[in-house]
Amino acid sequence: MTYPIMSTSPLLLPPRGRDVLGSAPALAAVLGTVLGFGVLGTPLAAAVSLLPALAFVAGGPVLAFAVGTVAVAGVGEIVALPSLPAIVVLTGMLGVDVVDDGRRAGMLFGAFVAAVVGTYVAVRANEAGLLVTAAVLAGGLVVASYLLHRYELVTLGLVESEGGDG
Amino acid sequence: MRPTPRFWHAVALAGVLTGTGVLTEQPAGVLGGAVLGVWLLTSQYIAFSAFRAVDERLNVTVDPIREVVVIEESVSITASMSLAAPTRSRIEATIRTPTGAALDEGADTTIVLEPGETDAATTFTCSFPVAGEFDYPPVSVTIESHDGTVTETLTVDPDRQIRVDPRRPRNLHIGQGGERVDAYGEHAAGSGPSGLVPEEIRQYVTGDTLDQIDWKATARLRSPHVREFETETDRKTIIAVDHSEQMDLGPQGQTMLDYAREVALGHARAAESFNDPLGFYAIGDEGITVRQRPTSAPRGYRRIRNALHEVEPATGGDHSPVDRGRGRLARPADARSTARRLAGDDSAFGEAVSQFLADTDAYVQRIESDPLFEGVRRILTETDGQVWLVLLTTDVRRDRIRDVASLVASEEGALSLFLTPRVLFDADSMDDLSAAYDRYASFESFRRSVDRAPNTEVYELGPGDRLDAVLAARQRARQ
Repeated sequence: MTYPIMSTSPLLLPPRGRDVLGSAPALAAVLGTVLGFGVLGTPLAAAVSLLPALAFVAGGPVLAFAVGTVAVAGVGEIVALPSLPAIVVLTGMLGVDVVDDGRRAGMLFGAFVAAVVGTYVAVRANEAGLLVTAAVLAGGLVVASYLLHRYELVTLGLVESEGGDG
Repeated sequence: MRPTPRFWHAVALAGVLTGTGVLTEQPAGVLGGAVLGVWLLTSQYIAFSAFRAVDERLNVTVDPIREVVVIEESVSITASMSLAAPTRSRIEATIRTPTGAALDEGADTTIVLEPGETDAATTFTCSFPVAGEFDYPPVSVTIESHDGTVTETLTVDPDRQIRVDPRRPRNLHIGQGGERVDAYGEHAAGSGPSGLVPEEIRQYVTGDTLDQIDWKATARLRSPHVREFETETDRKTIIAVDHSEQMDLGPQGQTMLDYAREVALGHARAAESFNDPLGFYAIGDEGITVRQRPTSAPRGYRRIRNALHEVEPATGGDHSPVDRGRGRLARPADARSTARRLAGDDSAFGEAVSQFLADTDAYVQRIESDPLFEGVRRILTETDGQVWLVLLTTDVRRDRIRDVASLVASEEGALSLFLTPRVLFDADSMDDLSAAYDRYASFESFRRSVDRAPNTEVYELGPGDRLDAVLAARQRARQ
């Protein structure tokens, strides 16, 4: 399914609104979040999952993920919701935007998430503080993004050769 | 790969989540920010795959309707974009025109392929104010990722050129009976030097040109001196160009009028170089439309050149009418007087013309309404002294051309007549070269008959390649 690009809305992405009901991945992500929170924490955690669900309908997957993250950070301890598994459950909402690009994109997204989670666990296991952990994760993502950008320039022939003799 | 504002907003959100997580010692915030960063990275990879697919499958073409145009001619250009398979990306191509090209009003030079589309095109027109060969610049193609986070701009070289020729006829032929002659740039045969005599020698002052310096006087008097001239004769060169609708025959930039204009400009340059008094008249379907009386001033020469460049085929209705019935030959008595003068003329020309003057009343009525004849009559009436008339027209109304020649002869003027034979400009005349030769032979016979008039020279004027083709076909047929 293709969706029109809302280039004027910074974070609002489709599917949202009524489109959620027509999108099987979106419905699965929302239901999965509710179930996941309910399983991971107390029954109250399932109620907390309604916040990202409503945000999904209102603003799409990115907004839903951000609201869900804030909810987990804010009331996670109260409803006995562990941070790492809850964030992994919320990742399913971001995956809705990726899955339409094919299995390969979905698998890549999953691999990247696994890499980030693994890095987080590894760094935290060395008793590093959150600041160091955040710096390692951010640094890795920035380097990966830059390398992908350079690879794209070379592949598409957009790099000007030195000396201008192309 | 260029991030869009949506990309940076997502980065900012990730930063806020991570920063808040660090400050409040909430691992969820740090993890959430990192996962959002992963989503951005994955979007970037998906966009890269789409950009690569577009680069491989995209075809952009720029097709002008013609590859050779003339200056200021509007040319229609169709630009199209096509994909072998649809994508989820939005693709926008901006067509640029060659340097110096002027886009016509309302031109749309942008093509857009929305997600899922495979073909799009646009058509616009432009013109070129300068002659030369131009390459179409590379087309700028901007691709936007499906989620609007990044864009990329590729360039596609359409590899097309366009040639812009100056607005002048090519392969210009001036001749008689198919033989080229140098019929302009000189004074008419028997006319002698320019109409100037030396008047006095004076000292050089700032502003005098180098060619005015009299070197003998300068050597003798040991300081620069110039020789001033005054007009010796009052013989004036009058260029008269027929720009009626019938002169608008031929391809754009190569019409009868374009050839006539080129020769007229040559005569104007020659007159200016000799400092001959020069006048210019343009005669349309309704009569005289441009009137520049003889002048020897530099500004006057320039006005005449500009008027020659600006003259266009007449469309009718926008010209000042020619005066009627007040010329010397409009009255039957004057026509009969002319008939008597030609009565003693035993030449073929005199015999051919006298038969028309025999019925003088009807003759006056017939020629009175002809704008070319009336125009020449007005020129001779308005111009004092001797006239050298350079008349450029076509051979369509041969009877009127004879009338004009006899009129100039009767007024003791000199006539250089340049005729553009219709056979050399008709679009389909080259389809049957045998018939074309017959028409040309008829024209040549007519040209010779008019050329026999006193003080009259008649030339053929037109595209040399066409004339060569007609004559060559005749040569082959004889063999």
